[in-house]
Amino acid sequence: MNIVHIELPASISEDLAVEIAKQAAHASRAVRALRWDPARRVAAVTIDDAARSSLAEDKVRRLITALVARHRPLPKRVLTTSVRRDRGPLVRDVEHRLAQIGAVRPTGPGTVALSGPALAFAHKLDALVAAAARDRFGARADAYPALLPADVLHRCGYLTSFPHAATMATHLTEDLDAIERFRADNRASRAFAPPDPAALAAPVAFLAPAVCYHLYPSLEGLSIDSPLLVVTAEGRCFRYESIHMRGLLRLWDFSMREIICAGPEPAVAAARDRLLDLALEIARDLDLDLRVETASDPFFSSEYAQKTYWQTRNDLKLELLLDIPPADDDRPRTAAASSFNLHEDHFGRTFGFTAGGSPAFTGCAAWGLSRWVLAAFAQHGLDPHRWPESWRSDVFS
Amino acid sequence: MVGGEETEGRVRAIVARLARRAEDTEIRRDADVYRELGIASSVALELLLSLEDELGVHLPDVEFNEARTIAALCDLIEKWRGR
Repeated sequence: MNIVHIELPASISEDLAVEIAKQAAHASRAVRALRWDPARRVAAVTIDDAARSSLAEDKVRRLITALVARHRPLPKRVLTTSVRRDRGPLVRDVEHRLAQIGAVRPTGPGTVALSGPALAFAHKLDALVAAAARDRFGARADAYPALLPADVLHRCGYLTSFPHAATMATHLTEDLDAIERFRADNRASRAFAPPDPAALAAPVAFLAPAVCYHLYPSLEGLSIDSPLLVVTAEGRCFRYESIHMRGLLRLWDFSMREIICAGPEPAVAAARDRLLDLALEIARDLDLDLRVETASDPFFSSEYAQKTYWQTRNDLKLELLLDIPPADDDRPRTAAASSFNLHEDHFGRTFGFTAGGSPAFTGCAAWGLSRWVLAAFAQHGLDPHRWPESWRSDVFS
Repeated sequence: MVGGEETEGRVRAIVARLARRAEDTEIRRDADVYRELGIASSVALELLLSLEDELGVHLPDVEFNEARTIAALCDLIEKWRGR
């Protein structure tokens, strides 16, 4: 291992430092970690390959320059907090304990299987949100595929905002020789033998990184006359996070329940507030330590400054943060278990659907089911008696 | 030192550039630069930094957030010039 130090001319904000530490892994496969000094002015970058060290360092330097340039930090606002009544300690090894009873089984990089109480909890949470979407918001229920056409994701802007996180679906190209070579290589190998990249077809689809992207193209040409169009769906979402994919907190492949709204701006904004209330009601019924903050998305590299400023300045993104056990360095941690997002008229303009004669505004709320699993079991453990009565029998039946 | 008329001329030019308008003279002083002139709110930071860079002034985020017209931006720049 090689550690190189990158010194900045001035200290940077905590949020930016965290984001740089996350994105550095995407600068080079040789990067194993990036840690900041307490003043957040010097980054120590761990690089695992001495031969590629200077190349990796150069890439990390360029990434940091792009992220720092024109960055203008805006303070986050805490909208609300709540403290649980269960005063039992956070379960530090919660994922280990869930694994011991087979409730969470890692199956590959960034993937887990759920079973037993973890699955029962996820199902109950999902059913609660789906029922509230229908009963309180008049939502239509949809079910979407995992694959999303590349053109749709491109039009959504995802490929410029989050190119590092996109997961492309591809296959062997229609070529007898390429297919036979791939088969022969794998027959001869005890482990998976990847194909020659030239044998892979250019991707025309992605594994969807969010549920709501499926909806917008279907609204093309629509005029939303009712006060608000509301749709709910649960689906698999895929976000590649390189070396940071660990446990339930950062999965490559995870389930989200979303409630998506489209209509005039005031109605969408009001719905966002009611969706936040719904999530708080569920979290408080679950007796969870939480807070709600303004937030921004992890826009990659040069897009970070402009887009995070836009989101924070306009309160476009709120996150429900649930307490989870501290990391190895004992610093408190939370999981952003739900988010409440406004997109202004971006999707209305992009996909040509209107409300009141103008491009429609949209918003969505998302419940990351695995993060709720992590936080609920971390805060109440596996002893049913620590759980609220309203959840106990359903989770531990 | 940049005076009031020159300030307005520069603000108009920046707004016109970000709104992708060829003629900055067509812009009303009281037009909302985001809603009426079409500057995407996602490029607000570029507007702020362009104003700061080209007019040599530091503008507080909260007050910039409230200034949504050419007139308001000019007033804000005059208020913070030289501080």
